[in-house]
Amino acid sequence: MKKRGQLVNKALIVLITSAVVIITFYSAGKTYGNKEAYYRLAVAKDIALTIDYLYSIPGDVEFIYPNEVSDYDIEITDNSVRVYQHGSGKLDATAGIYGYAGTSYDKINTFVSGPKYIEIKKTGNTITAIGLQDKTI
Amino acid sequence: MIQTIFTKFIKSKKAESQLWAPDTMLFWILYGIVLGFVAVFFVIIVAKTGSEQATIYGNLESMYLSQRFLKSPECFSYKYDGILMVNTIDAKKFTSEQINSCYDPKNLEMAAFRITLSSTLIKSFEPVMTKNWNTNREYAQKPAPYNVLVYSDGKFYNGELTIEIQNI
Repeated sequence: MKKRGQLVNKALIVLITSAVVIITFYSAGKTYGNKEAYYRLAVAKDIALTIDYLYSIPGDVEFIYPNEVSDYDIEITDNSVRVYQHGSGKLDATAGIYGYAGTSYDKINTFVSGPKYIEIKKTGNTITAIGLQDKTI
Repeated sequence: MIQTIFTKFIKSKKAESQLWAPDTMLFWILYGIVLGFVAVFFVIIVAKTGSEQATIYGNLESMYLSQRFLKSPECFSYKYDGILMVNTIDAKKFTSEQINSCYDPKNLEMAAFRITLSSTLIKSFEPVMTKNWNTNREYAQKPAPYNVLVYSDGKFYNGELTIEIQNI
């Protein structure tokens, strides 16, 4: 026979575990349901394709991604672009992730948190990305 | 301090009886298995659904990547006195080291390339390939060869650059 304290502890663990599972599934379902997850993926793909293209062309380029991305945190590292919900601290289960082909002589390592726009700049053979508050270069 | 508390907790008969009671172990095991299956099912369903919004149409991605081999001085393009000659291949640069330097896919599932340079007037070149090219498989796409100039030993020759692509 169990004591009352034991039952309370067990119920608490079950409650917390269930809450974590329900919240995760709920938030994932919500972001897929309202197409938010697909938009994040589209942003990640756009930025990855832009980087691929910039590595393909000679000369220096400054490009401002025209869509507003203030709801997101964008991380470009290890040959992939990750787009998270702003402020989710990279724990976003529905982050948009897409890869690009890097080079051995340049490693992009950028994290921009909630900028209005993102600018991708190529100087020589080096690419950098920064957050902007307006589209003026 | 924390280690002492943790050790006490682990050794505590009371805690043991509360958290690891034999009669509840079966429940937790089944709970974990069922939860795992539900999560996998959810991921499979989500992966199968998609949106037009996030689709890259046609061969846009492979075309962008292919341009690197024709236009980038970090790949094969000939550059003289700071001026880049697009669609002109520097024979000295046409090596495996060069292609792996200018195309470095961390994810081996990214598009893979095998590139063949041919010119009737100069020596034949060994094909070069990216490090994720699978020699046991056929190409998935082979666009029409590109007409290029080949720069070798101070002279220009007509040539063809053939790009074969896998993983698209």
